[in-house]
Amino acid sequence: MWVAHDLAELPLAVEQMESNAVPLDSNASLVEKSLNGDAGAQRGLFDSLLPYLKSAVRRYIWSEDDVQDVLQEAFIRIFSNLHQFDASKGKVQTWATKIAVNAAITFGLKASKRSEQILSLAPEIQEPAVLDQLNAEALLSRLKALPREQYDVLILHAVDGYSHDEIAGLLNISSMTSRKRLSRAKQWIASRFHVEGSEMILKKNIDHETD
Amino acid sequence: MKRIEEILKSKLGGTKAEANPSMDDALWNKVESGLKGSLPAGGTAGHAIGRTWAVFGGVTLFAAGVGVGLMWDEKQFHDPVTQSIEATDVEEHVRAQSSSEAREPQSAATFSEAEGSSNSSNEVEPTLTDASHEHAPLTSSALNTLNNDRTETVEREPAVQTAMPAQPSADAGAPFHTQITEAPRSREGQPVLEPQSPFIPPLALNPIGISGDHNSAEPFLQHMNRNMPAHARHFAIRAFGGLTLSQFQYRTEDLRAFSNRFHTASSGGGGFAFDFEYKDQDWSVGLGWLDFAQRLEFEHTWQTEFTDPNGIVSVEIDQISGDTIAMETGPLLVTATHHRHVRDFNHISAIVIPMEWRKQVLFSSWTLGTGVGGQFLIRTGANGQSFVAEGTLARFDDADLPRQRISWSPTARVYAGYQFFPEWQLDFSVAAGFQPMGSMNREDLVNPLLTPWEGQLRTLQIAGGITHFFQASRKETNP
Repeated sequence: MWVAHDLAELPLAVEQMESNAVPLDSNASLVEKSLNGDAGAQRGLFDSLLPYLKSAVRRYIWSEDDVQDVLQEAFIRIFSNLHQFDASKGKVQTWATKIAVNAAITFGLKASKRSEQILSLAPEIQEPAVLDQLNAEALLSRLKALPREQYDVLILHAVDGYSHDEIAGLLNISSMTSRKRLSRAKQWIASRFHVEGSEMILKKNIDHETD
Repeated sequence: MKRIEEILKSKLGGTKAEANPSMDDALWNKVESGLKGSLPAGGTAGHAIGRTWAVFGGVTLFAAGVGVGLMWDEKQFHDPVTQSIEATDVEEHVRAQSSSEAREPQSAATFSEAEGSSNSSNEVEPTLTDASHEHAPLTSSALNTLNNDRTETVEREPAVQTAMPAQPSADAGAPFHTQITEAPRSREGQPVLEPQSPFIPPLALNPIGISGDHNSAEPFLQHMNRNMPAHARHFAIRAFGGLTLSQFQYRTEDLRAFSNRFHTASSGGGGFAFDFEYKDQDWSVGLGWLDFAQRLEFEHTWQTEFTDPNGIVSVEIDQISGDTIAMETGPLLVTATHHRHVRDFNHISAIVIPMEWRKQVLFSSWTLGTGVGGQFLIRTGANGQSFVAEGTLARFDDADLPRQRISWSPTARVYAGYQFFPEWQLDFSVAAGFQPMGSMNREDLVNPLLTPWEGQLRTLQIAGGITHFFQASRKETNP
């Protein structure tokens, strides 16, 4: 009987896999002070995490009012469960981002007007005169033209680092469905963008058709 | 395709949104008010608040149980017959009352007559004196009647005697009897009744103080309150501790098949209980802390296939020398079998407030009894793993369980006690119960990998303990 070459690569359990290394975390001291009741540290932690969490939530929630609601819910969860954060398993920013993304996905699943959001919030894309670079905002705006279920899987997997099993649990789908949606999303991107070096460049011969 | 993911991660991951001070401040204010002061002022927030309320609730309920047990029966004190004898010495009228209680079925007519006569003419003493003379021998017979419930005759008189308030030396060693001193009389020869005092003397907890040659806490155990001074109440404080055994079963349909992966495990706990009598029934209320553990253990085997591009396809060996002559390599389909053994423990701990109704019998110094009731459980912590799919687990902790921390667990208990000293008893008990145990809804789970579940915890508590008996008596005080 042949034995698998690398058992460590095989999924043994669905757990949040965190790096074994202990990274330097500038927020670690703020976390400790926050747990001790330092109001200044609590506000400092909020200010430190807010830009990243806002950016993460905006990837999934496209109404600014809803973004504020989701951020409020996320920060309440973060501060309520701050005592559970284990600094040896990663940075607080990573942990907090995961909570914010979960809150955004949960909010999105409850939302009833997703299709309207896509149509109404798809921004005008100012196509650069020379299409050699797309900035983050423009890229994200373009990606929002994807079908919502493919978009969510693409961003969760490619940007926020969720595994297909984690995505399956979050979106209440199977991991096979998650893989299929990611594959379709990548095909959609490949049909519309050139990949040159580290940049994705919109293909010139693709019009701004509705998808 | 991989390139696309790398580009997306580099462009979109870790980006920072621009600051908007006014909106950010408004958001912070909302977050603060949403937390409603649960931001920690020292120590962890959720656990500190949860434990504080849990302890407060437990202590309140425990004190309420003590208060119910110590509740004074106002009616007896204001009974017309009792009123009429308050004029006499406190110790004396109490003996008369207790003896009248012993003869209650037989002397009801007598008392009603006395009541009528006392109301009309205030001539209490003659009636009472007659009753007392009748009661002395009858009291003994009443006591003998109660004796019939016991399998061993016990000398009651000394126990009863010493459980009563201090008596004049002339009564030392005498059988239980009634002594009535003459009430002060007016010039007309009518008894002068002092105004009824509304003041109720306070209770005092005293050890029973049974004499050395009698080692039974029978006054407490045999509802002797009826024969004892009216203001005497017997209580016991019991300390217990021991093992808890528990097993978990899923109730969620999709996860039911995994219930057999959870096995019984043991943990421990302990606490205190207050045993008292109320409405002629035995009750108990307590406060404690218990931890329940379940062992998650199973073996998981699965197979994977992969292609080894450089597998050994064939080998040609010289049959004489054993040397390898030729070897062919090529792609080979490999089937790998993986096997893992999982062993872990789930824990859930709680402050418990047990409450039960008890029924017991005495055999010499032994007590056997049963208790039926339940316990409030105020969850203080939980951690463990739960199934997501076949062979796949996800961790949970207290934050993934419902915010409603209080649950009710019906229990039934059997116990035995051995009284090794007049006021002390060793106890052993076994109690069985069950309680619900489930997770939050999917959208509220902190760990998004979990599959929400509902389940039931079946528990068994094996405890040993020690009981100390008390008697509460009202001290005579002047208003």
